[in-house]
Amino acid sequence: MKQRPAPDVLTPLLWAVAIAVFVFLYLPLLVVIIYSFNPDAVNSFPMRGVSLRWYRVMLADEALMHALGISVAIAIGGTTIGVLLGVPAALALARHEFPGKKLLERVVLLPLTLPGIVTGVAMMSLFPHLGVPLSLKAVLIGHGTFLIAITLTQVYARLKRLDPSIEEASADLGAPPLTTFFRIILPNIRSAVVGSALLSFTLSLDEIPVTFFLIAGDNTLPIEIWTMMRRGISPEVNAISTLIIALSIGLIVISSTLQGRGEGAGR
Amino acid sequence: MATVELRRVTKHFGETVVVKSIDLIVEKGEFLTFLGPSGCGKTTTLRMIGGFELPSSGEILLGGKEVGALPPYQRDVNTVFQSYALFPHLTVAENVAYGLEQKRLPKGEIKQKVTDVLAMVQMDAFAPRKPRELSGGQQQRVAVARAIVNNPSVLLLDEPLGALDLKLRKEMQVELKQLQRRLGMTFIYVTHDQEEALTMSDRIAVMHGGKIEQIASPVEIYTRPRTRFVADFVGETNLLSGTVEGEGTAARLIVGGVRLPLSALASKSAPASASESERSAHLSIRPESVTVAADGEGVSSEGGPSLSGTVEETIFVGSTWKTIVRLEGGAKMVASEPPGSHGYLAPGLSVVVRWDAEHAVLLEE
Repeated sequence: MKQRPAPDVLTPLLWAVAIAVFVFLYLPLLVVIIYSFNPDAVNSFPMRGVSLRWYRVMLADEALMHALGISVAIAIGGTTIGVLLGVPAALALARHEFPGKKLLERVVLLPLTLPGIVTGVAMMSLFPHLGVPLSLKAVLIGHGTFLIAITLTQVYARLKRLDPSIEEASADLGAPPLTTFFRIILPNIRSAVVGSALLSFTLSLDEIPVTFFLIAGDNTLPIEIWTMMRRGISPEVNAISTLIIALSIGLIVISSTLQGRGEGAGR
Repeated sequence: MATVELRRVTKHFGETVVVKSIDLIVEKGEFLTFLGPSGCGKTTTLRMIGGFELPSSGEILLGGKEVGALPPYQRDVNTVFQSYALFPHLTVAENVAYGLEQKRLPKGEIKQKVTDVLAMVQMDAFAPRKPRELSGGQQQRVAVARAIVNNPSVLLLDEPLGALDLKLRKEMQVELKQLQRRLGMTFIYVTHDQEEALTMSDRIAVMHGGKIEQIASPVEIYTRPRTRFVADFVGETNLLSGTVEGEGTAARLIVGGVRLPLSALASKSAPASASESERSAHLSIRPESVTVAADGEGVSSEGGPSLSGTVEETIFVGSTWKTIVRLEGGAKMVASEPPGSHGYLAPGLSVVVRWDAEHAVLLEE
């Protein structure tokens, strides 16, 4: 048998690997955040000082602000669709037998695992046939479609760990199905629902491939940034990126706090 | 009036028939137990009464009314689930109040009833706790309280003590029985534990292969089992297989060439109509009805049925001597006798086993 290395050798090694991973993951973000406060137009280090110049430019950029507004609206709408359809779908999969269930279980993850470009092209070809022209409406439906899978998988996993007999107990005590859902099921899957909603929101906010094929006139934020980059790098991209990073971290903190609380209540 | 009535109730899942045409009447205030091994259909029958499964055919009547496809939340029945199924996000008091809230009772009345029922199951001190902070036995009490507070016409209990350790289970058996008697509530109880069924029930329905093999009081089930399965499943027994000869008081069971006299009652149930060769039957003799004596100690003088054999093992279990005898025909016979009846019987000793014909029961296949 191989001798295990002494802990005092292993521990610094683990630390080194962990630090390397974190540097690899977060250094690019750090660079973006630092350069967003750069007073100059050219990214160069050391910087001549600290300035909010690019934030002012960003706020004054109507096209960018318009795109931000659209993205937030799409993300909220898409998340709403995803949650409203994903939760009942998860319940159906976890608790009921119906024809085609096995098939659905297998294909439900497709929108997540397929390259976005495939989903995008497919929807671009299909939607006009359904009377949905390429537009923000198409983008909204597109996002909603793949976000269903996010809620469905998260809520399904939670339902699998929830004793189904508590739903029978609720019915046994005189509660009709809707009461059982709101008073018994929902409180026990709440953290999974909120968590998947927050994840859906951030995924929608930075989505490019599907959006790209469905968009017509108005740009979402990622498309707008991408368009800006084609005209040449502007440091206001750093400012808007920093804003998005801050937003995402905020959402992740809220999400994990709720998750932790939810698991405490579930045990 | 019957509280629960089942008429030719059958249930199949796909090709598998789980419950086969059961007829049953449960009287008001009765403690009825479905007893049987796993897969015998007892839980499915209970779940059909609760409304969690619908019968494939047949009728279920609650309080004289056919309930058909009525969902559980419209039936005047409550269930204590095997897993307790307490709501994890609600406190003990909120769990118990849940059913009353569905009935839209006034808040003050709900509070009073919850307090009373929790006191009844000695859980009043735990009202603000969450289920996960309780032990298995405490959760079980809350589950019972949550069901009985609604004062249902029938309480269904699906192996409610299965998850508890032996000592606690014995205590809870007595408590549940006392509770049922005090409330005068109809209990339908499911268990695979024959001792539990004998301890608690007014009547036991022994189930096997989706059918009720016998339904009777615990004493009758134990002393007068009707079928081989019932005799074997409820308590320990010795089964002797042979053929019946003659009729009435002259009837004899021939086991390995020995003619054994039968009791009047046993011979009545003998399959008289069948031809001689087909009159095979089994005799059930409980170990406590069997005595063992060393060979030659007045075998024939006592008259009762007897067989000879050799001692295989003698075990002292404190309250009894347990003697395992290998009979001449090859069958085994176990005897349970009080410690004073005889001393240690060495393996290999030739003995005679004897029993009272009145305590031996002739069984159907």
